[in-house]
Amino acid sequence: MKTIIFKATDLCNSNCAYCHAVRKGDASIKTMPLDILEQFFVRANEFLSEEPGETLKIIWHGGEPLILGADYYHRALEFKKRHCRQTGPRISFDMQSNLTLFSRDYVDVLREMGIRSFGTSFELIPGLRGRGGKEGSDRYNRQFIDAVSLLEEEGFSWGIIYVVTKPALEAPLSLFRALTNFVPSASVMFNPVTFYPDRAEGIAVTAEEFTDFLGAIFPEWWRHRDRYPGVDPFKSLVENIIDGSDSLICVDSGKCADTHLSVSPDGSIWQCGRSSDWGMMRYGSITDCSLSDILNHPEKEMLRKRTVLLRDGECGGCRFWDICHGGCPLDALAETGSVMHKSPWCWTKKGFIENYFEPVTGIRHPCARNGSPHPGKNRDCAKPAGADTIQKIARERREKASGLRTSPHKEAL
Amino acid sequence: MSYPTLLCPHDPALFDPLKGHNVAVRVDRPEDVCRAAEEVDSAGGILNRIIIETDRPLSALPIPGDWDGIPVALFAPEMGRYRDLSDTIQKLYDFKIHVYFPAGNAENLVSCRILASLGVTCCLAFDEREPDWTALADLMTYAAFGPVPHAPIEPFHHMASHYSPGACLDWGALYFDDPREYLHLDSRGRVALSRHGLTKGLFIADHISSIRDPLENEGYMKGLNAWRRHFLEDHPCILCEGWKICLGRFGSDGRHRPGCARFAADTLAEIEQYWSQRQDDSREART
Repeated sequence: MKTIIFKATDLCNSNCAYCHAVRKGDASIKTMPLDILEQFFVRANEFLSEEPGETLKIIWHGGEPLILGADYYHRALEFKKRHCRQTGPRISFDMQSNLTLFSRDYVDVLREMGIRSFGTSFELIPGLRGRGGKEGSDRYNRQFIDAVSLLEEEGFSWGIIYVVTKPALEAPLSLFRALTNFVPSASVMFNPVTFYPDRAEGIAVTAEEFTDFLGAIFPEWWRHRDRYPGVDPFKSLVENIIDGSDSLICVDSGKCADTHLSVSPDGSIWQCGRSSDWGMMRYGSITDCSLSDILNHPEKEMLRKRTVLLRDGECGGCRFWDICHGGCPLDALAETGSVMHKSPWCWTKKGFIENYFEPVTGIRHPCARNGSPHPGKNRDCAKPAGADTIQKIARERREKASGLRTSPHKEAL
Repeated sequence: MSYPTLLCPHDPALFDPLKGHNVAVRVDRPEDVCRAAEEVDSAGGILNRIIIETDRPLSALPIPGDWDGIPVALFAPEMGRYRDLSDTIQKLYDFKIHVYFPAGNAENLVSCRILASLGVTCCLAFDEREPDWTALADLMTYAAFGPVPHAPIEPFHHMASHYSPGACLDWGALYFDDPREYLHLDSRGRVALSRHGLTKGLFIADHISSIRDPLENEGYMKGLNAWRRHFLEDHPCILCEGWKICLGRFGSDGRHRPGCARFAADTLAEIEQYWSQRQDDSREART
């Protein structure tokens, strides 16, 4: 599956303190014209026709995608129907939105697009989200609450990507409680705020700070993990380390060259949503390149080589390689000037697992399952530490899995 | 969603437009119960419940035989002397009567246990008086997990039977305080989301006829998830470990009470354990 972060607009009704999109320079085209939108579906059909085994997941992103109005999405569906008659069933849609503009007008078209859940954000700390200041936050949060109420009544689900900023470091556990109390499904993902190259004073956090933030929450989460089923990165780490899942988000997969693209309002194609926001790694335009051309772009090859280079170099021997792969190349690029290094956020995963995950769970990574290490994992794990525990927990999790909801999509974009 | 039950004062003039609706009626006197039920029926309404609030102890209240078959919610301040209940107890058991006592009176916790053990459904109503949280926790354990057969003691029975991880548990409908289940009408037919809304004059419509689909009423939509407003007010309850099963209801008028957080957290932990046990049991049964 290829994931396309589809930024049909750079416009937004909010001005969140940590958003990359609002810091973008003045692009001449703020919203994708309909002829470029139509061209995208022509390209999508072309790609899927060439690749009968492939699927496309299109994530409407921005800017704020709901600023476009329901008619825009009706037109998108028209173009899809017109140009993707045979391949349409292999195209799916998701949406990342602040939801404050959600209204009944969107319900039918979003349902027709197959969108059932939304990734969104919420912030209790005043002054970070909204148009600015405490008043802006209050207004934003009131609109947000009204919107999610309507969303739930209409049968949609939603999950929060919470951006951890400096003020959030003051009381991690309180914040965790408030967020999981606010989101009934407890579908919450914690991501650190990232600012490059100018780390914003008063907002940015270091990898160490973010690690300790997670560490302050993790014992509570672990003790009540059935109560908070959808909290990430904890849930995903448990799936990777205990259940042996190979599923990793884009920044950890080491495969983003082959899985992700982003389209911006003028039709430019970028490596991913972040690279589009940061103006890095542009591969061409939808108007003159096919998706296949883009996926074979030489810079994509560089990303593939990065994985090999790191495995044999900087990350050689690291016992967390299989769940990290050097992290996000853009983080490396922003910090070091080259994608051929590991991410500076490497410390978060390593430090969190060593200092918090392993001591709390009693399970060491890479762990032995049924007496043998994971296939493909480092073989230097002399003692299968926590093997009994892991088998017990994995069994319990398998048994309970049928009774628990899965969380709405949450992807580092 | 189905249309909420319409809860109105005892005034037959209000019942006529409620044809085909589920209707609950609040009456002032025990002797009005049957008449109100008949009037709802003859107006074409579907009787949900007759609600009566009395300041007399339960034991001092006559329960006439013609209440049989009428769903009644009976709010009394206390049980009164048990020996005076001898005539009433069988009727409470046989008829569809749910007895409500204020949780702030410690004696009522004992009364609930006695009545429930005799097969009478009891509900504790949380008001401005702070309950004895330790005694309440004992009752919760008895109500939700006690091995001795007994009738439901609410809200604990509801919590234990409806809990699901990853979801909030709203038990307001037990107290007719949930707009998904109940809309409140005043004597002029104006519509509010709760009894509190009625007394404060917070109406969402001048008449029920203007609410064909509640989901299209802005006031209704805002009221549906009123619990989320706590998050706009930086309310201490939003940090509570037991929030998911309380939603601020163990407090009074949104006030946070010192003892309720521990109680709610312990209750949640016990209910989770019970849920987990039930999951294990059903898995075992399947295999």
